[in-house]
Amino acid sequence: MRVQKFTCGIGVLFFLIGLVWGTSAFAGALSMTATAVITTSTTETVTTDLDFGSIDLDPAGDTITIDASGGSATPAAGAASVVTGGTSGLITIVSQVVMHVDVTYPAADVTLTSGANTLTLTSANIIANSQYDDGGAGADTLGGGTPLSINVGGVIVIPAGQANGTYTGTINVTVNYS
Amino acid sequence: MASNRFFVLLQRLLIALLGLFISIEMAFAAEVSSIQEISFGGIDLHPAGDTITIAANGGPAAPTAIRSIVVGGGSGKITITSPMVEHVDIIYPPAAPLFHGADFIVLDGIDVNSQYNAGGADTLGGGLPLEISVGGKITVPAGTTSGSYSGNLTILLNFS
Repeated sequence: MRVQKFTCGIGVLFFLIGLVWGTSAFAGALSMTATAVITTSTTETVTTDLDFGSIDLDPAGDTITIDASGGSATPAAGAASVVTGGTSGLITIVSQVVMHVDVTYPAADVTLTSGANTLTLTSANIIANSQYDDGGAGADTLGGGTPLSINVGGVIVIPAGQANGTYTGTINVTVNYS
Repeated sequence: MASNRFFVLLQRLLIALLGLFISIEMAFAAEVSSIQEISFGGIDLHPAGDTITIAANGGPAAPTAIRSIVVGGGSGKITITSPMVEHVDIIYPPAAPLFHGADFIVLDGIDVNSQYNAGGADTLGGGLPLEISVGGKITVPAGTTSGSYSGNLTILLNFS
């Protein structure tokens, strides 16, 4: 009889232990996958190079200007040079959303070379004759895949006696989005 | 006589162990019945970079960007079912990397953008599902390589 009470007590004890154990904290870990697909549809394209055209130079020298600060433009001579062809440079930005754009033009002058001969496009004149310089108000892209045009101009001063030839150089332009 | 007492003792011990087993089973009857991944969708990234957030701390949510276009995506979901009401605390990881080859972006803010991050929740009992929405944010820098990024986050569930 005493044994039965004892074993019954053990049963209750085990049950209570089980209950306490069972209701204590139980932790489990699970793994969840996370994904993101990233694309960049915004493009900047140099659609047209800056071209001062073919210049039949005034013997006294001349200044050729492409003033593209208001949009696409062609070269204009300051003196009696005859300029054929040529056009402002064009950068096209296509984006799906409207975003603000500022353009940083070169801080240093740009040298155009023809062999050992050079001409200079000054930084100040590039900025003054081009669109959306970051010192100004900039522009907003149009969104929806419609291109925004950024026209680039400048000035070259050609002294009398400048050697004939094809002069070329590179203008590095940075488009800043915000 | 001694043999009978032994068998009675053995019988009682077995019953006690059964009680122990049943009580444990009852207490841990909750189960994670499904896990739905968290997806930031298709992101047409703004050239200056962006932060994409899924704010699921109040329930299911879609990704939102500051200046990029986001298509699709949604919060993750953990579904817990239990025959009885149980309390569960959820421990979210502080961050998890999402990889695309050698490139990666970081998913963080999981805790503040997910449900029951403070105080946990009670399961509904009766086999009814408790749904826990999981969110977070990814910061995508300008120039991030295009592609499909993925990773895993480990979430701890503490039942009590």
